[in-house]
Amino acid sequence: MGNVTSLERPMLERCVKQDPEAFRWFVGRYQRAVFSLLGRMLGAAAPVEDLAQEVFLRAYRGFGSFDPTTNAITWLLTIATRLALDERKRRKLSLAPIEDADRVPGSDKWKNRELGLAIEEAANALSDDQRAAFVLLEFHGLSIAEISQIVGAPENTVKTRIFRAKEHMREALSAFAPGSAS
Amino acid sequence: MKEPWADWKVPEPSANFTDKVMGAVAPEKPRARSWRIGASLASLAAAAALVGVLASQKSTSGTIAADVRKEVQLSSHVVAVLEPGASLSWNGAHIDQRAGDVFYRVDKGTPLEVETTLGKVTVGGTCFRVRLDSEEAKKGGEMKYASQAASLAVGIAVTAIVYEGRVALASKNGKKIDLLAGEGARVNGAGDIDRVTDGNGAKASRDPSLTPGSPGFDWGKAVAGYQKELAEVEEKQAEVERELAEAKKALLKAGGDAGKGDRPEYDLSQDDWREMREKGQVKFQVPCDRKGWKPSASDLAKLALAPEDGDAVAQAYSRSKDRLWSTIGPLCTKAIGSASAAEILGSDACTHLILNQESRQSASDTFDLVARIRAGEVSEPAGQERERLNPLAQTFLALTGESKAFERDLADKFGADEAHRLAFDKNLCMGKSTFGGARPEK
Repeated sequence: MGNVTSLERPMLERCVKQDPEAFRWFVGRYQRAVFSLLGRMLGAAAPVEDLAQEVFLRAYRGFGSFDPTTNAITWLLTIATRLALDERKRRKLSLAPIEDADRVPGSDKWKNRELGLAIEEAANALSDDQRAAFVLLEFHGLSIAEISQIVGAPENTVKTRIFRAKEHMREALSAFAPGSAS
Repeated sequence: MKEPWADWKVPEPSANFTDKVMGAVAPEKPRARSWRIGASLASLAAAAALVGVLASQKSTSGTIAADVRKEVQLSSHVVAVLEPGASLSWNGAHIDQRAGDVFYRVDKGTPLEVETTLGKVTVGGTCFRVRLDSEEAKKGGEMKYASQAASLAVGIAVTAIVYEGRVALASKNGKKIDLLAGEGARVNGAGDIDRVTDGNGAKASRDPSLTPGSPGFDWGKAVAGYQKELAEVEEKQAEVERELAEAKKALLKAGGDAGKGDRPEYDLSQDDWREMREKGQVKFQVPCDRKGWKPSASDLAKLALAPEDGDAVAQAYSRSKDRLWSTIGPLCTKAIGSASAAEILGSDACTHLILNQESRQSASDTFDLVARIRAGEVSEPAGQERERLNPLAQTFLALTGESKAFERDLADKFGADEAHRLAFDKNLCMGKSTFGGARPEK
């Protein structure tokens, strides 16, 4: 991931000093990335907004030890990933209920819904570690080295987890792959 | 090939998510307590500065992080004054102090435990009283603090300074020390405890003439001491403010554009346009010609966007190209007499071609007109009025207005603030150009 930009750095330095205006900027800038990670790590039924709030609270408290010359998004995703992994251990997460109105076979909405459920089901079959590595690589563009740091596992282990995760996801979602008969 | 999980949807932040976070980070201050120090107690302002009576709140448990000095009533008998940067959580008589400096006042007989990463402070509470015998006392002013005070600084070491009463400081490795008023100790990362001395509270407590309740206590001397301390605090504050002002000036200077602060160079205000008009310049940024391009997951991550935001960004680029070409394309076609040739040249080359067809004076007048329009001095022509402008003016009006148009497209999906941030994010591809004025030095 890219280094911190010249515009970000003064704001991050202000965040380190717990300047509320700068922290408001920080939340606005990175909230979508945090929601994206938590949503995919925990599934549709999780209280993503509450957990995202907790991620930013932890970031706020932890800014004292943050180096503003380093990449804020990687640091924030580290916090979010660890919270998500803890949350997965803490409770069994279930899938979101399906609304009948969306269940009109053949409609686009129905197809999207079916695909969404299939993706979640496929992801639920991954181990927590596989899921974290997969989401961080596929949806956040992090490097293997960065993921290795975040999840605290050797790079080769991360690569294996990603390989297995992709293999499983492709197989589980083969019915939805382009060119399939579904 | 697109992977099937590329369509994995996730929830979007609610519109007020940022406000929610900010509310949790710095809880709103409730009504001030009745013992807020008023102007009539000016001579005790130094004491107020120490005590930091700003606001209070009471709950048996909670979490707080302070961005400004903040007083929190943790229970009926415990008040904590957090300095900026301090944070703690509390549950009954147990406090988990995570960071920063916190001043605690604990009523007599109230047990309290303050835990940090390196050590634990246990207090039983004592009492001291402040009586005002100066001008304020004659007016009936009297303040009482039933309190025990300890100050903690958490970082590479924990320091406890006792102003009144007695506290026990224990490190994580089991070492323990009892501290009396006027004493202090520090626990380092290895768990070793060393005694330290502290100026203010320690010294005040050791000197009987400055210790309330002691036989030789001298109110006049104590108040004078507080006033001196206040003067020092004010001096320090003024110094910090001067440093801050200097730092801001330096920042502006470093940006090379006084008044712009940390605004990106091509985020142009009407003042910027007035300034450019003086220099005979026109500058702008337009999205790169990327029709059909879609940002990758890595691109989106750099932009702090979610994967599903890629379509909106790609569409904004596509619309930008169409919008610019709808103006530049026909003008370029007319200039060279061939639509297919214009298509091959593209917007950039066509812009230079159109510019080269104008005389130096006409180009200069055109830049002046465009700058005046963007500075808000002349209204922007539309419709037939715009079509009557020379090709260069039509081209440059399109180019100088494109950044905002692109931002508006992004705003449909991301909201105005986020769209503005994205439009000037260095991770989005933007073509930046400056025309007219003095040639840059080589």
